[in-house]
Amino acid sequence: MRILLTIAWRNVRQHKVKTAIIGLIMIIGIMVLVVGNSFMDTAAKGIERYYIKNYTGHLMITGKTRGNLTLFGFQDLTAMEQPVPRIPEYAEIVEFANSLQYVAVVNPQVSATAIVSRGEKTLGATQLFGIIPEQYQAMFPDNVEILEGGFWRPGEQGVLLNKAVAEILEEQVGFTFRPGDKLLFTSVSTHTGMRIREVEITGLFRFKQSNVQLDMVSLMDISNVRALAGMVVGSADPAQLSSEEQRFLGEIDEESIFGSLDSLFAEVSVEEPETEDDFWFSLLEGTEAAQAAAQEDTGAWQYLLVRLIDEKYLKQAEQDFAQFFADKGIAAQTRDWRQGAGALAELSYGIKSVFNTIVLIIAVVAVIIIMNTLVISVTERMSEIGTMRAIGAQKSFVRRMIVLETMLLSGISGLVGVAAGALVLLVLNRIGLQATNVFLEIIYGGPELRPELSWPAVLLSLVVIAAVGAMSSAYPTAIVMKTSPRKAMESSR
Amino acid sequence: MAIVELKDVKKIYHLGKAEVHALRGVTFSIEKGDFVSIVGPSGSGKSTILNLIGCIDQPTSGTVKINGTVTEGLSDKELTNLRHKTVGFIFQSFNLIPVLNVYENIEFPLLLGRERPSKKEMREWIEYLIEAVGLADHKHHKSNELSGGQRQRVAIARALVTKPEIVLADEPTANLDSKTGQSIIELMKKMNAELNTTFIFSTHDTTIMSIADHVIRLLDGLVVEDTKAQAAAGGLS
Repeated sequence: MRILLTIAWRNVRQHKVKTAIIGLIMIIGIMVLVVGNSFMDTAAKGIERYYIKNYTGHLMITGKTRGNLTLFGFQDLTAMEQPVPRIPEYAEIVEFANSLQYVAVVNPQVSATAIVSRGEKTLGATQLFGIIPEQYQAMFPDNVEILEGGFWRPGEQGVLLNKAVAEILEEQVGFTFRPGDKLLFTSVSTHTGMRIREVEITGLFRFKQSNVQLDMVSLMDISNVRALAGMVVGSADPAQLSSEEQRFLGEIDEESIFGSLDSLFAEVSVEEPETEDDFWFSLLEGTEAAQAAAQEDTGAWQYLLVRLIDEKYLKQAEQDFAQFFADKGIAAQTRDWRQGAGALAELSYGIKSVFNTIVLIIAVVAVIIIMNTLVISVTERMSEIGTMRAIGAQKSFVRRMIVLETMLLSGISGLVGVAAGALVLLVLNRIGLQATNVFLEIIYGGPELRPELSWPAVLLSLVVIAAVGAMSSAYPTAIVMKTSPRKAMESSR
Repeated sequence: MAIVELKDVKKIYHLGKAEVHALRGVTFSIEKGDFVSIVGPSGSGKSTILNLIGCIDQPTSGTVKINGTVTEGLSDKELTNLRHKTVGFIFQSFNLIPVLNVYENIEFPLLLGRERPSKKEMREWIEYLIEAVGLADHKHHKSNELSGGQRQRVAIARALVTKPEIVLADEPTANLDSKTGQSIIELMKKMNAELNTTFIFSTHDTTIMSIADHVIRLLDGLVVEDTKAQAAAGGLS
């Protein structure tokens, strides 16, 4: 082994051109890999950190459903087929969650998308999170920066308009929205028809850490969002009704309420906030259910966000909730923060996959270049290899010699590449990268990124360099293996 | 005792569709400790015979026996082992390993074998050979720091380091001036006498022919003169 290492090391040093070509390719490749993956890992960690801390918690409990359900609603074609389900046995689930020692806090939410208009003029659209401010702030104490006004008072209604949304809307009306102004919010759904609510702006805010998707989110009282989401206040999904409730509702059906489905799309009157849910209850006029439904059903929620005291309990929490749902026969499920965060967070991970694909392509090109250089090098050394074979070296010896030379070169280049990558990352970390456009903001997972050296990225780079070394030495080794000791005689003459 | 025996050996090379009859039925034997010269013009089959004796090629037909072992049917690994234990090589262009110094080049064949002498024995034996070939002051020099004659001395020491029965030398003086060539021949003759190692040369050098114990002359793939065989036949008659 000593002689192999001696020969390998001296050959690496002696064949300077070969070493320079291969070494440089590998150093640059590894540096790009380390910097790129560290960059992506930092961004992914940042996204994870700020989504868990500010928007999703560690876990999201929803009604059992198929499809890609996020905090922003369904983000696939499933949205056309089904409304976001409400969480069944909400109170029981909350009680169970609060009984778990590793659960820090929970927060219920409802989500809806609405077109915003003022008078006859359509101004734009916003995503609405229906929340209870006290619970929302208990879960996410640092994510909202109030710019003007504030949350609506307990028991009242209102919207805390995102400044980014407000600026888009203001372009249409030509003036600045202030607390006290009213806006019309309209939601249209194939499942629930058209819903319109007039809601007063109680304040303007911005998320401290945001992105293009979160910039579209405004916060609204739960009553109005439930209405816009088609969750008739105080009722439950027909599928979830107990036999007693079904008996209670008697023979009420859509036909008896609306006359015909066409009425859904007929003229719609605008409800003042003061009327509370009169519009919805008026639909039940003349039924016994109306009186009962007028009582607030606090159980109508789409999401229950759960933050744990530590991320290490995540698996346990998922298992405990799954067991609880199974034991109680509750049609609910947990989703992790990534599913909750939706397309934008996924996109960051998708970009990482694209990056790794590009790296893979570069690696293949590198393998070809390195292989070619090694073939030339080996061809030049046919006489030397033939001599070794003639004086008693087995095929395995010369194979090990070539592989060792390549691995030695790869290893040194890899370490230099990692060191160079770490240096670049150190500089980038000091400088900090500002997201100058939406695309970069998505990649960075926020407005600024300070990339840190990621050890998984270093490990991946070393695996890649070993694979590149092994693959690129395969063909030259095959040539070497076929080298006859006669070559020593022939080249000598 | 015959260390090398060739019986009716034929070797045909295929160059495209053409067949080249390098050996057309060669029979001779070489005794242990002989200083043998294989001579003949280019294309007569000298190199082919050295390749066959060196176990780096196989005959098309006939038998090659090296130190009692028939080479036919041996695997590459077995042939390599046979070469390593039995044959040392001296090449026309020296063929030293460029990244190794004098000492390491000589040591190299010893490191290839599974059965090695102790480190002390190895060192003493290598030092002896270096001294014997007159390179005591150059043992840490790389081959590109040596003259042609010095390189060939290294090659001689390397060929002898495993204490082989046979040393094959393919025109060892062809790339050397006459004075250096003469000293190399004298060195080999000295080692032949000291170690009783069989030296087999292919050569055009008349000096070698004149000091050889046994001369085998080839022409067009056939033995046309075998001094030992003729002497034996003369003795018998």
